[in-house]
Formats: sequence, C-alpha cells, structure tokens
Amino acid sequence: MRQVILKGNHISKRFLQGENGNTVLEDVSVDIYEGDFTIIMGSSGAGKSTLLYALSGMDKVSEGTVVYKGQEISSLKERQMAKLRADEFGFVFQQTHLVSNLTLFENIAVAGYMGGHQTEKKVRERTGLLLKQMHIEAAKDRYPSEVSGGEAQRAAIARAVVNEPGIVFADEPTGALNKSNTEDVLDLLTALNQNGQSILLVTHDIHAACRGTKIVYLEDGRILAEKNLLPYEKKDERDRETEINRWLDSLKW
Amino acid sequence: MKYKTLVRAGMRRHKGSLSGIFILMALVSFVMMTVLMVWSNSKTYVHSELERMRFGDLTAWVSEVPDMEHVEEELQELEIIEQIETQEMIYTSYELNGEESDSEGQMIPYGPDEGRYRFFDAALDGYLETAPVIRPGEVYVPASFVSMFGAGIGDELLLRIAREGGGLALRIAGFYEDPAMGSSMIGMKGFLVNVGDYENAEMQIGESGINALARPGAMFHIDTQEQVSAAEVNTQISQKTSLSEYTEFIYSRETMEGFMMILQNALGGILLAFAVILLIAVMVVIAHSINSTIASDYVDLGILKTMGVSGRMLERVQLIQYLAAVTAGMLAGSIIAALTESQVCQATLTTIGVLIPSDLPVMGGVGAVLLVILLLTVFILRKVSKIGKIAPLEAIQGRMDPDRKIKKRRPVIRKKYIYLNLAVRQTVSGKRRYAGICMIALLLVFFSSVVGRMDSWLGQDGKGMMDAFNPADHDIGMQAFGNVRVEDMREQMEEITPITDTYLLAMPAVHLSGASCTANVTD
Ligand SMILES: Nc1ncnc2c1ncn2[C@@H]1O[C@H](COP(=O)(O)OP(=O)(O)O)[C@@H](O)[C@H]1O
Ligand SMILES: [Mg+2]
Repeated sequence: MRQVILKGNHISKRFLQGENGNTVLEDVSVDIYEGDFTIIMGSSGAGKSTLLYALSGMDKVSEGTVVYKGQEISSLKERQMAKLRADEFGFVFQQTHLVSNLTLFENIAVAGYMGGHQTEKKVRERTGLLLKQMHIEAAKDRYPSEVSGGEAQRAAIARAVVNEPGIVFADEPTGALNKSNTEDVLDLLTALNQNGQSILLVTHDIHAACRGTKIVYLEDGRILAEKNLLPYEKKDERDRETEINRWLDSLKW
Repeated sequence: MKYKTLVRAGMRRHKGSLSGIFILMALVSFVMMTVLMVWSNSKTYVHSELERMRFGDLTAWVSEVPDMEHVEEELQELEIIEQIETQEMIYTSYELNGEESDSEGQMIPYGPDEGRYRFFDAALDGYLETAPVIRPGEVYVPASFVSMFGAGIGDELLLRIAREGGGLALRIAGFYEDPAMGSSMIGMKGFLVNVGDYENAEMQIGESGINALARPGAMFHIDTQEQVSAAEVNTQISQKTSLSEYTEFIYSRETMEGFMMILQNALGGILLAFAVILLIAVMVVIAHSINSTIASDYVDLGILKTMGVSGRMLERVQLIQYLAAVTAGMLAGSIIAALTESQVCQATLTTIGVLIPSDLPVMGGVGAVLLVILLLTVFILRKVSKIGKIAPLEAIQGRMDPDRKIKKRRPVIRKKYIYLNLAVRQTVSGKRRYAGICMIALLLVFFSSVVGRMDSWLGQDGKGMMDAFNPADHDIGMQAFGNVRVEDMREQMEEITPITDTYLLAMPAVHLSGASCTANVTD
C-alpha cells in the first residue's frame, strides 16, 4: 500500500480583489502519494501555482486543510513552518530563485545546514556530490549572476534535494529554459524520483507532464480528472505524450 | 555553521557600511575610554594628592597677619577643628617671558625636609625619583606655566617684591605638580623657592615699608571634625576667631578639586558629546544599512525563508553582522586608547597641571563598552524586526516589495553617452549603498573639522579656553560664597559698574557664610 504523504482537503483560495473576491481554487481535494512524481497540469491561469503554494504551506488557504504526514500544516506558526520547510520541503521555481550573495555551493550548503539532521561535514560532502550529479561542479564558487540559467536551475534542484526532503515542489521549473536545459532538468528530476523522491510538479507543458507517474488536471480552480501512468522510460516518451494528449482530448481540452 | 555562511555572505555584501561602522565605533570607544580615563583617574588622583599633601578640609589663604600664632591658637581652641597646619608664603606679582601675571603668585619656601611636592623630569613625561634640592636663585614652577607663559627650564621668573628695584630674579630649574591650583584654569599659582631666598624676600618686604609690593601670608590647612557641617564651621570661624580679618580666600578641598577638574570636565564633556554624536551616526548608518538590506535583498530574504530559514534567524544574522563590526571597532578603539593613554596624559599635563595616572579604568571601561553594545543590540533588534515579517511567497513573486512597488524612474540610456549613462544608472540604482558611504564620509569630515575647530578655540595649549574662564581679564570679579542670591550680587555690583560678563564656575560646596561674597580686585 502506498502512503499518502500530502493531502489537500476541500481547499478554497480567494484573493481579495476589487469589491468581490476572486476565487482561484474552489473545493479542491487531492492526495499526493509517497514516491510519486505527481504533475499538476492545466492551462495558464487555472490556479496551478496557487494550488502548489497552498499545498506547500507557502500561502494560507481560505478554506480547507492541508495535511503533511499526518500533521495539519495550515495552522502552523512561522517558526514551525520554517522548520518544516528546512527538514521536509524542497522548492524549485520557474525563475531560478537562488540567493544572490551566496555562491552556488553556499546556496546548496546553507539549505543543508538548515535541515537539522545532517552534520556539517555530511552536508558539504552531499553538496559536492550533488554538484557533480548536476554537472555544475566547475561553477560551484560562482554567484548566481555569473552562471547560465540552466546551471542556476540545476543548482536550485540540488538545493531542493540536499536535505533529502520528504517532497520536492516544482513550479514550472523548465518554463524559462531552452530545449537542452529543459531535457537535463527533467532527466534530473526523473532520476531523483526513480530513487524514491516524491515530487509535485506544476506545468502546462505535455512534454514535461509525461515524466509523471500521476497527473492531476486542473481547470478554473477545480480538479477535473486524475490519471495514473507507468514509471517513465525514455524509449516510450512518444507513446506517453500521445496517451496524455488523448486523455486531455477526452476532457475536451 | 548555519549562521557562519549567511553572516559571512552578509558581511561581504555590506563591507562598506560595516567598515564605516567599525571606524566610527573605534572612534567612539577611543573617545569614551579617554574621557573615562581622564575623568576618573584625575578625580581620584587630585583627591588623593590633596590628602597626601595634608590640605585640610578647608584651606584659608591669609595675608599680613600680625600674630600668626595667635590666630592658630584661636583656631585650635575651636572644638570642631581637629588640626591645623600652617604653610608660610609670600604673595607677589611676577613676570615671566615678558608677560605680566594676571593674579598674584605665591612664593613658597621649600626646605630639604619638605616632602609634599612631586617634581617632573625635564621631558615632562614622568616624575623625578628623588626630590631636587632647590638652590639659591632657583625656582620650581607649576607645569602649567609651560602653556600659560611658554616657560622653559632656564627662563627667568621676576618677582616684584618692592617698587624701585625691588625685584627678585629667579631661574626656573624645573617644574612641579600642584594638585591644589596647578591647572592653567586657575590664575593663582605657587612657586617653590630656596629657603634663603624666601627669607631675603621677607626681609626686603619689611625694609621697603610702604614701597613693598609683596605681602607675607600663609595657608592654613584646617581639618575639621567629620560630623560638623561646613556652614557650622564657617559660622564658628567667623564668629569666634579673627581669621576672617586676614582671609584672602578660603576654599574647601572639594572646591579646589572642582577647580582642578574644570578643564577635564569641560574637555571630557565636549569629547563625550562627540562620542554621543558618533554613536548616533553609527545608529543612523546601521538603520540605513538595514533598511537598504530589506529593500535590496528582499527577494533573497524571501528565498532564504523558502529554504527554511526562520525570520528569527534572519534577524540574528543581521544582528551578528553588525555587532561583530561594533564589537571589533570598540575593541580596536580600546586598544588604541590603551596604547596612547600615557601620551594623552603627558600631552595634557602642561594644561591641567597634573600628570594623570594613565592606567585604563578596566571595570568602568568594560562596563561602558557593554552598555553601548547593549544599547546597539536593542536598537538593531528593533530595526531588523521587519525582516521577520517578510512573507516568502510575496517576496519571491515580487509583490509587496516596498521598493519594487514604486515605479522607478531611471535615466534613459543613450548610445552616445553610453559610459556616462551607465555610470549614472549604476549610481542611481545603487544609491542606497552609496548614500551610506557618503554619510560616513561626511560624518568623518565633520568630526575632523570640529576637532580642528576645537583646537583653535582652545588656542595654543588651551590658552584660549583658559582666558575665557579667567576672571582676572576684567577689572572686578565677583564670586558667590554660601547662600547668596545671584540677583543680590548683580544689584550690588551694578551699583559700582556695569557687568560685562558672567561665568558659571564649577564650585560644588563653597563653604563660607560669614562674608556673603568676595570680590577680586586686580587692578
Ligand atoms: N496574489 C494574487 N492576488 C490576486 N490574484 C492572484 C494572485 N495570485 C494569483 N492570482 C490569480 O489567480 C489565478 C490563478 O493564478 P495561478 O495559480 O498563478 O495560475 P497558473 O499557475 O495556473 O497559471 C490568476 O487569475 C491570477 O490572476
Ligand atoms: Mg503558474
């Protein structure tokens, strides 16, 4: 039996805008399973990012609850939330959000130090290992402004996983990358997932979506459908894309 | 380790402000330590020296007493007086290096068994180990004569004992320390002469009769019982003895200490005011630097929060960063102070008249440093509390960012002036950081210019300041003793002549209620 690692119960999200609030999520319930590569798909403006931020505790929900490993996180205090982020969550964003006055190495290592469960020496070792895995060892002492977008995004992924988090949240991580960098990043994420890392990825791109083991389709702030897939293999990428397309068509996309 | 990387990165980024804070804090602690040293050491030193020299609780300067022993006996008979000690001397005007003295000097005989005075070595940076023998024709003058008259060893001091050739020329053989009236702030000055010379002068006064300019006199050092109030002592002395008939002036030991401390207090006050201004400057720089951190590193702070760095920790990182600069600066300033204190003491000797012991008051110094650090800690914590409230999502999405919300108007770049334009743009976009550096530079310029000003205000070796306080620059001076209303004094004075100037003198506890005031007539 696979475990539910993250659970959204009847989540609604409204933004106060103008006279009447703007409802972006409406009664969304979703289960994210441990070890899954879960994709939240949907067109632009569907509320994907909003859902991701709600599930990751980055933003408060208007209604409903979010439960991570049995613990309700929607009501955590700042300190507790910080600890949870440090130990259990990793984030990758569309814009490579690295800390500008830390080198790539430091960006990754600081995240490692924040998670309380590794010694300094282990963090440094793991950071070195990840830099190698992400092929950015040569750039480790450079600042984010001195590296390419692809390198920065790979560093961001390394930073997200340095603490061996329970789950990695990725919001269109390839949205700002060129084709070959996109492929690299997706390969890295796939490899991580195949080593057991739970990932929740938001995208509007079918090519990225076909890496997932489960797809959640979001439209106008509601979940329209969900679909499970077999673990990704490079050789049947075409078939997967076709399969997803057909599924989306059936949803009148 | 968590902190180390972040603190190091923060320091890298804020090198400019942090080194400015370091320099300012070094100045603050240097000034603070110096003031503390000058104040506390000279106060205790003057106090203990006056005690050692057996200056009584009160000292009365008397002149032309027909029967000295009679007055002494009268005083001894008072129950409230425990002990009196008499030091003979002659009041005389003098001339040194072509300059006429403002106030009368006091010629004090110095015999071989006189142990109370301490003498400076020729370089004026320490004491002679053994007291010198004063030979006929020699005189030892207070160290402040260097600043007051430009005196040097070998100069001639001319004492005006009598009219028509009744001058006594003495050669300055050295300088001594006078903790009672050695400050250049004080007009009346004593000089130590050979006993034979003194007796000759006494004889000359007697022979000159009406032509005598100098007058014989004495100091009565009076020790009183402890429980008796000063007012009580004064009343009894003026009612039951004839002392007040001959009194030139009478001062309590605290009053003399007060006089001796005027310069130190004034200089210390000015320096302390500087330290406070500098401290405020440091706070401005810190506040500015923190605000600019929040504005320009807004996104970074938000990202750090997504990495699980709590607001508290971000605040602490800032705190550590600034406190490190503050503490290092204060440490450096204290070390510089410790290394230069003896120079400070030597440099002030010829103005304040005593060689202040130059050991740093460690406890007081540590206390003051801790107090300043505590103050700045509270200040920094208050300033950084905004950082804790940054919401990570808003920061990384660029919402709510106080700086980004306002549309910035940037100079347009034109190809022709591309380099100039880029430079301008660089300056404009980095203006917060440049502003910080400019501010520090301005403050340093301000500080050094004020220091320069102070020098000219004090004049050469503080002479200007001395003049400002010297009542002898006027024809009549009036000074209150005991419970006198200033208005009454003014009225009395204005019956004679208009008042040109008034001073507040540091005279805590002036004890004499008999005559309500004295006037020093100098011309
Ligand atoms: N902070 C906000 N304030 C107001 N409206 C917002 C805010 N964030 C997102 N929205 C709105 O919510 C909707 C969904 O946004 P988002 O979740 O970013 O969509 P997606 O990621 O699927 O493209 C959009 O219409 C957007 O305008
Ligand atoms: Mg989005």
